[in-house]
Amino acid sequence: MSDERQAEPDGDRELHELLTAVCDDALSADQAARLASRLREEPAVRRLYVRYLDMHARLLGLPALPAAAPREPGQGAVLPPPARPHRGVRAAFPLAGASMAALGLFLGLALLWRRPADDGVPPTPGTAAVQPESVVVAPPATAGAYVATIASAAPGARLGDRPVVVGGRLLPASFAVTAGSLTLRFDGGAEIFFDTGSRFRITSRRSLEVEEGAFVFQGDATCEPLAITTPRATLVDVGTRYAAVIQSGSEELHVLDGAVRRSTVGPEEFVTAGIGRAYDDRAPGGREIPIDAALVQRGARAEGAMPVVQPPDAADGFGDPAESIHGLGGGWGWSGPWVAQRDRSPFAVAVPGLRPDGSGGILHHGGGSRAAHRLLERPIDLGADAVRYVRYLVRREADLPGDGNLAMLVLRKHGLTVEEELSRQSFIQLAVRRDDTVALKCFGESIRSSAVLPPGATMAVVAKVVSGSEQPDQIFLRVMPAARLEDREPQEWAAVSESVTTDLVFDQISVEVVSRGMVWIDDIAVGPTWSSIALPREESQ
Amino acid sequence: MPDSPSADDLFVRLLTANHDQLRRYIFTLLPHEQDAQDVMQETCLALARKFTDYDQSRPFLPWACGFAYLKVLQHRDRHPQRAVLLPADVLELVANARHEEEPLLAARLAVLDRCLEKLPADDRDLIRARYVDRVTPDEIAVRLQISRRSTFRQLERVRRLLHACIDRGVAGWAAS
Repeated sequence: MSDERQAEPDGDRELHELLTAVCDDALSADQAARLASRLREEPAVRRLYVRYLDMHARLLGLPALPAAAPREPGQGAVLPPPARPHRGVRAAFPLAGASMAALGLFLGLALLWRRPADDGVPPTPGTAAVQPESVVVAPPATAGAYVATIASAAPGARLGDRPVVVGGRLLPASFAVTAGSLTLRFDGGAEIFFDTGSRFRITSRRSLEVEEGAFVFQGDATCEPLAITTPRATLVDVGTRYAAVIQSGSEELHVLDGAVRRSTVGPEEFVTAGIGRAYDDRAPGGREIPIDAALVQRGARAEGAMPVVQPPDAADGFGDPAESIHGLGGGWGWSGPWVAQRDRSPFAVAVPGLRPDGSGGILHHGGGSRAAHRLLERPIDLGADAVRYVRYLVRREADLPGDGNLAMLVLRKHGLTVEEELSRQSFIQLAVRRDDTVALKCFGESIRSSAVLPPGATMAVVAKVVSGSEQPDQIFLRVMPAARLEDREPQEWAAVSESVTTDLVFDQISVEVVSRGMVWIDDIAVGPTWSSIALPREESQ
Repeated sequence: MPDSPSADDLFVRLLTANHDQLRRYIFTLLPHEQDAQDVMQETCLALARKFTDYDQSRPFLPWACGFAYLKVLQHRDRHPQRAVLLPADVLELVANARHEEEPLLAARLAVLDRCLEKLPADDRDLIRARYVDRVTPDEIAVRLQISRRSTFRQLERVRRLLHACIDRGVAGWAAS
């Protein structure tokens, strides 16, 4: 046996225990430290780890086990049949038209496609989708496009004379950070931290002019390049984290990772990681200075930007005992109780629901469609300057053949006829369909995205509604495992609407399900911040 | 997003062809199913956003894995407290090891199905429960009326059996 062979740790009991703990999500902090240490020091352990984890990943992607030799006579099954529904795998992928069975249930959110709103979504009770196609659709006017999001901000931060609203969107315009600090996330992925006193002008999603102040840029190869023009030069990142201080008469550049291409009227300069440079009238070509590591470390997140713990404006966790949703009046932030769709049996209330506390939730028993509606005390007004988040939990059984397995929340205006709702495009649908599709329908368009929606898993469907009195409105949608709701809003959204200008008001929320299988829905919340709908909350206020 | 139908088609085709390898790559770096799914989603969105930069003369998978690696790092930065997350220096070592092992991994996958077929019936039941029906180890312990620790040992034993079977299969392949 060669030395190489002797070094293979296949018989290493400790390592196999660590690997099985990794695979079964049972790794303690001590075990994690030990595993990291061994991976760091032993190439053979790294090889085994890679092979073992690849096998585990493959097993997780299996829709079924390959056929085996029949059991010997008298040999019974060790495990009783699974209580959970079998994980269905669809035979074909609707967009590509190619067989996707081998891809199992892990297709990432990748494939967005937009269509006119009347796109064949299965009819649902009380929604515009049931309308005849002959109705004239008048979509709202398309507005100038947003290019960046306020990702975080220090308490009390202000842009000009306005308080900063985390989650708010920015159009190309001039801005001044007059108090605190904040981090912007450009739609191309790069993040820029601006300190107090910074003045800048966003010119597009790929370009920015900084007139004064200190900023820290963070981006990597997954981000679109962002050109930042200062009074003396243009800076373009090359997968980089860097800081700059722009003052009257001088500039500094401090590069922590990657490189920055600095161009002026003279020759281009590449400033690489670990280098600090200063530029002024005495040294227009620059001189080396010690890198200001403390400045560069100031964040991709503004200091002190802890999530603001704020309750939702409206919430219902269906904690009150009841047989059906009709007449149920729990939670807060509502005007009146739930009203079930007439001529259909109402959703049942089931215990436990989907919340970790074991309280109730609403249940669709299959057999067609159900809907229920409730009025919001504080409407979502697209004519106001605001950001609102809407969230619900959903769990569905595996798709049945030919069934859309559709569950959604619909924001709408109470009292409109169906024709009026459709002609004004006065609704927002936040939907999950089958085991692989997230769908956002609003403003006359339908945006769908392929997603991972495993049967039996509790998923959180979250929408962000950005509205403005003078600025455009925009809707974002993301689905994620409920247990993985983070304290900050996600960097990537599965579906994003166009920026449009409307003055629609939504004062009613509808829960609608069209499925032959069982569907649970629970914990509906509407709030002003991401954390208000993402963090655990008390059921009573 | 790709801005023309042909770019759309190409993106879908490349992602479809490489999806499983990309998923397994992410899972090696981030061995937690839900976290890995989340990173897969973010990776695919970033790939879609940057697809116009993709050089079609180069293979898609390494380009996509580069994105995935960065997304894993971002995920790690957002969740430093999670035990399952490897330190950044170790992640790099593992990513390099995965790159070196990639040709062998394809051969090992081809052998895996045969090894599953050869498993004793009870062990197949265990694998089916854990991986196909997604029964948690705790639920398996209840069903089998054994301790949680024994359940982990059973799973460890079956995985070792499979792993050793794949080793033998690949060695036999190489020898032939």
